[in-house]
Parts: sequence; C-alpha cells; structure tokens
Amino acid sequence: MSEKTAAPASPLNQLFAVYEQAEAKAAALAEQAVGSNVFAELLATTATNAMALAGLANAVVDRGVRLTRVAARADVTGLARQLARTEDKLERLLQEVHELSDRLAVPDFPPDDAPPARPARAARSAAPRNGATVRTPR
Amino acid sequence: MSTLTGLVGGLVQDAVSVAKGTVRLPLDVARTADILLTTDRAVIGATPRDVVWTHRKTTLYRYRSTDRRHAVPILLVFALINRPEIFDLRPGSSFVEFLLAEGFDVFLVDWGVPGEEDADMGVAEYVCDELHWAVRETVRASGSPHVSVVGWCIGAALSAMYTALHPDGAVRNLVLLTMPLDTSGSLYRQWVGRPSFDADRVATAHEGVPGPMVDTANKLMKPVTNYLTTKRRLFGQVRQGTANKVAYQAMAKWVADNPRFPQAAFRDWIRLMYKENRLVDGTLTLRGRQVDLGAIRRQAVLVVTAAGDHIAPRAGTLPVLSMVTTDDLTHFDRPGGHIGLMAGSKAKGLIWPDIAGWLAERSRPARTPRPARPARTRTARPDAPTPDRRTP
Repeated sequence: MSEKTAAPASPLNQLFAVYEQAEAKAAALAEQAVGSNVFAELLATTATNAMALAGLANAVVDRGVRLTRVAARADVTGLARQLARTEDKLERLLQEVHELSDRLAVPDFPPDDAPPARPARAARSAAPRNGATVRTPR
Repeated sequence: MSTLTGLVGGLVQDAVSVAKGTVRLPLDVARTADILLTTDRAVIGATPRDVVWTHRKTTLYRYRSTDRRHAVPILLVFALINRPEIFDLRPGSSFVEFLLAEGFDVFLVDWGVPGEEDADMGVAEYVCDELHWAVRETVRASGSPHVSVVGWCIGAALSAMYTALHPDGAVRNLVLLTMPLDTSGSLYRQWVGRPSFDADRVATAHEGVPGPMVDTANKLMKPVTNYLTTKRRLFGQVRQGTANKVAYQAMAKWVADNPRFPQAAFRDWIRLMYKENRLVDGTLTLRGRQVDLGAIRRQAVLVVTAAGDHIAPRAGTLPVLSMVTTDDLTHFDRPGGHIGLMAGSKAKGLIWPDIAGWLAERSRPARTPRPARPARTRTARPDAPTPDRRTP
C-alpha cells in the first residue's frame, strides 16, 4: 500500500520510496513462491517431520521425568482428561434436566405470589408410573 | 551565476533535509520500537460482560446493556484459531459495543484456550455439543425463543453446520462472515490437502496443534507483508506522525494470541474441509447425521464476503448462496481482507451498520408477523465494490 507523504522528496524519502518499491516486488515474488507446488510439498513434509520429532522428544522427556517418580506431563494430562470427562457427564445431565424442566414448564424462579401448588409434582403424580416421560404442551 | 546559486541552494536544502531526517531517525526508531515492545499492554475485549455458562474451556458471555430494544438476541461465534476478542477489539472500535448501542442483546461463545486434555474435542463436539448448548443457554438467559447467530471464519462454518443440523431449532437469523466453504483452489488446500501432509501426525505430537504453528502458517501465506510490511508501515506512520498506537497495538496483540487447535478438531477440519471438501459436496456427516446446507430453509441468511480475503477466498464462500434454500437470503460484498473487513478502521462505517440493520429488520418479537420476505437473491456479483444484493 502506498503512503501519501506530506514531506518534500528529500534524499532520505527517496531512499525510503526505493525501498518500498523493492519490498513490494519481494512481496509479490514471495507470494508466488509460497503458492508453488515445491514450497507446498516442502512445508507439508517439514511440518510432519518436525511434529514427529517433537513427539519423540516429548516422549523421551516424559519418560525421564517419570523415572524420578514425579508426575510427568502425560500423567497430568490424563488427570485433566478424567476431569473433563466428568464435566461432560455433568453437563449432559444438566442439559437433560433443563430439557425436562422446559417440557414440564416449571419456572426456575416462581413469582412471589405464585400459589403454593407445585406444578412439577402435580404433573409427576398424574403421570403413569411406568417411567414414561411426561410431556406437557407448552 | 543564477544557475550556480540555485544549485548551491538546492544542495544546502537537501543537506538540511538529510540532517533533519537523520537527527529524527533515532527518535522515530525508538518510538516504533516502543509501540512494538509494549503491545502486550494493550487492552482488548474490554466491554463489561457476565459469564452465563461454561463447559470445559468454552464460556458463554452476555454483554451488559441497559438498552435492549430488539427481541432476538445475537450469539457471536468465532473461529477455533485466534481469540474472539476481535469482536470487541477496543473501545470505539468494537463490533460488540456497536451492537449494544444499536439495542441488541449480545452473547458471545468463547472456545477458550484448549489444553492437551481437550484433544478429543472434534468438529462434532463443537457443533453438536458446545454450540448446541450455547444456543440453548442463550435462549434460556435471554428469554427469547429465537436467536441470531453471527459466525466468522471457521465459526461461520460451524454455525452453518449447526443450523443445517437443527433447521427447526432456535436459530432465526444466520450471519456468515467470510466463511470457508469450497476450499478447492485455495492456498490452504494446496498446503494441507496433499497426501504428504499427515494431519494425524501433525496433530498427535502435541495432542493438538500449537497456536504459534497455526499463526506461522497463516503468516506464510503473505510472508513479506506479514513479517515486514506491517512493521515498516508502522515506522512510516511514526515518521509522518500519523501512527495510531492504540489501534496498532490492539490488533497486534490479538494477532499474536493463538490458542492451541485441539487435536481432533484439527484432524477433522483438515480432512473434512481441505482433503475431502465435504461441506460443499453435501457429504459431511457429524455423529452419523448428514450436514446438508440445503436444510437451511426457515432462517434468514446473510452472507458477507471480503473481496481481498486470501484466507477464505470469496469464490470459495459464494457456493453457499446456491446451497441454502431459504427465501430470505442476502449477500454483502465489501472490499477488505479476511479480518480487516470486520475489524479494520473502515468497518464501522462500511459493514457494521448494514449488518445491524439487516438483523434489526429480522429481530422483532415472534408473535408479530415477520416482514414480508423479499425476493431471493442468489447471483454472485462481480468484483467489489458494487451495490449490495440486499433485500429492501
């Protein structure tokens, strides 16, 4: 992008202008280069190899740490994963409760002047006792 | 004699100019360095908000507002790479702030910063669980049975998948900003779509792809521009006294904040979108259910493309116009890049008001009759900038 320069064309500004032109040409050439098949192949292979090496290095370090009887990264990740699974189960349960609550049309916070009757309980007692879901029309 | 005098005068003037420039040069360099080195102090995502719901690393936020005039809340969904603060970049240049001022109830789903323990989070988990629950919690918190979903980049693709899987769900309006859809011919596909790119191996080594690696790949698409030109341009602006330190630092901070791309999500995304191009083919399945964008028939859909988008090229987004089957379809095409379109200095005047206006027309309470559906617009326009194919 060219910039409008208010300053007079001093030698320094001319130098900058020449540099900008060179940079624009370099940018175009670089974009052409990264769009080539050779670069794409190089990038794909390098990325795959680099990550494979990183994986090996991680495994070696983890084994070293474990030998010292200290929890390694993989152990911590395993624990965090268990927590995540538990959270998943809780969330699914919560969503199920929300869904049932919506179906029963039970307000989360009944108004202060609401009658003492409990609609959820009334609906439940009216339902057949075979575990079928009560579907109250909205 | 007069020629000689003029020559000498010119030389003296040049010498003075060079001397002035040389004296100023260290100061300008120091000022530029100051901007670059203090970028991490920039404040982004500053609009006050409350946490509505969390699950694992995902958080649903609701922005505080005392002026909610529209019945249908907006749920903002961003990509899995980079952080969603781009929606709320800085005071005075924040899409969230703009929407709040327009009277919308604004929610944001933040995917958070996944760790190694989130390696099992795939595209199906994000679409079928996280986004589904976020929509449900938005409905619960807002009290509205409907929601407008605004997705950007990968977030747009996830939003489109979700809406296609729940065509009779809560989504009333769907806004797709620079959405990758047909990846054939894209530079990304050339890089990661080839057989030699082993997405499994790349994603497995670190139980996900480290953010800086994704950032490097993005920057390599325009290496000189991203690594050199932005900094040289900043130096030029400092020299001219036109540099906007706050704006530069906010954007630079956001660009540098790259969370990990979860292992399963990366593997799914590369395979489904780049290696097999399934979304546009209509052969993508999530948890055994086919994701057919043609199922989007009840929602009003707004597609926004950027003429200079090199990450999700405009040509790759346009097929969505012929895939969705809704009668209320609008397409805005604007100059700008993938991010600059919505977060650039001109976005506030160029695209935000149009999006807000489009949403406002379609955010009336459900009981009142919806405005008559305008004629369907499908044809892609030629090069921007040209008038929008938008509904009256």
